[in-house]
Amino acid sequence: MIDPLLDEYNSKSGSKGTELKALDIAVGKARDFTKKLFIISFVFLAIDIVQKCL
Amino acid sequence: MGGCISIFNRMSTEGATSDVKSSTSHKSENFDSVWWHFLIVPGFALYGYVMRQYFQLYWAYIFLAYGVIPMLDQIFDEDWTNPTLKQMMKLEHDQRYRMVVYSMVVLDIFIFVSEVGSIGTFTVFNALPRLFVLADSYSKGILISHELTHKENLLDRTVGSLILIKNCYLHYTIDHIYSHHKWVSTPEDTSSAPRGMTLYEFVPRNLKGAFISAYKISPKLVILGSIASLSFLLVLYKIYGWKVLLIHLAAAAGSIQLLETANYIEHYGLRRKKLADGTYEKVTVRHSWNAAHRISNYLFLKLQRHSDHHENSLKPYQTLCTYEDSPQLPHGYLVCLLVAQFPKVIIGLFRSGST
Repeated sequence: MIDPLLDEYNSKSGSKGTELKALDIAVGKARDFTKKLFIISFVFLAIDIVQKCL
Repeated sequence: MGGCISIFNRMSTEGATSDVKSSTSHKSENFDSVWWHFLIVPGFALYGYVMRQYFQLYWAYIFLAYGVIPMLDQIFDEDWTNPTLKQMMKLEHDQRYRMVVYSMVVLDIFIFVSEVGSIGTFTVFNALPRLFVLADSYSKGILISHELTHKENLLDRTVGSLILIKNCYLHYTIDHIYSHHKWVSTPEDTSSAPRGMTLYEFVPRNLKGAFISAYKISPKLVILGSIASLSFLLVLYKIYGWKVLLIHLAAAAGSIQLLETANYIEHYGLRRKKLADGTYEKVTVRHSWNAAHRISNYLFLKLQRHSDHHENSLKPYQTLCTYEDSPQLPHGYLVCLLVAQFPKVIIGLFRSGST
């Protein structure tokens, strides 16, 4: 899951976890995942509300 | 109190700065608020309960916890502020933070009793979200137990341990305190995932490893804990019947899966060097994965400041610090917990962008 981050972090002994190139990429991917999560959970909540109203 | 001394030493060497990340070095005045903890920890649990019990909206809590909170984590700035030494002393004795934890203990019992009493209303359509929410609620119990069992106070430790009887996981406390914290990020600790191990290899390995480790440390306590959990299940069966027992066991298993996923992501692939004399290097901030995401940090009682938790295991959650030289996860633990459930998808998701 976090192998690229781990590789870059370990390869630079004095590196800062906040300044990794791999972190920026992973953050972008995680944000996309978060948006999908929001939409999916919202759809299920909407179904729940519709079911309740019917 | 050795842990606290070490953090104070660390702070004094850094000029007792209130902030580690230089770009946000003057934000210490609003570094924390107990009301955020009240709103997000017991507040959200209560919201979920009300939505389920009074409005039959079973997805409402999942939407808030797994849809809205990760989004809020992106909207709000990351939290890099640390308390100063003076603030830390004040925070440590602020009983309101303790009330957040104890309000969750009360809510944990209340939600358990009321959910178990209404399990008869489970249907094919609502079973999945209700079971998920129940497992999530049980896992919050483990989180609270974790905070309490790290205390020196006997009452806190006892209450923290008793919570785990419900989850049938009392041995976790023994293994966590006496083995995991000692051997973290070494091959001796089954709770520290080595690089390349998937979650589904890690969980069975640690279920067995943690039990054996706890048994070696205190066989009497492990046997007593097992008897207590079995007695609890028997009482549940006698009062509510087999259906409730099965759903309870499924929720307890779900909460253990969430806990082990947290264990998995907290130390994945990080290793302490073995020294010439056969011992391991000291635990440092480089041996735990952290996340500075603000809202999920409130939700997890600052557990995402995991490096500091391992450097200073006696520190109460409100005084934990964040360090930019520690390894950082791309998102809060909440998203990472979900992401880790699908290893193949996630390995592809992260790797594709980095090569």
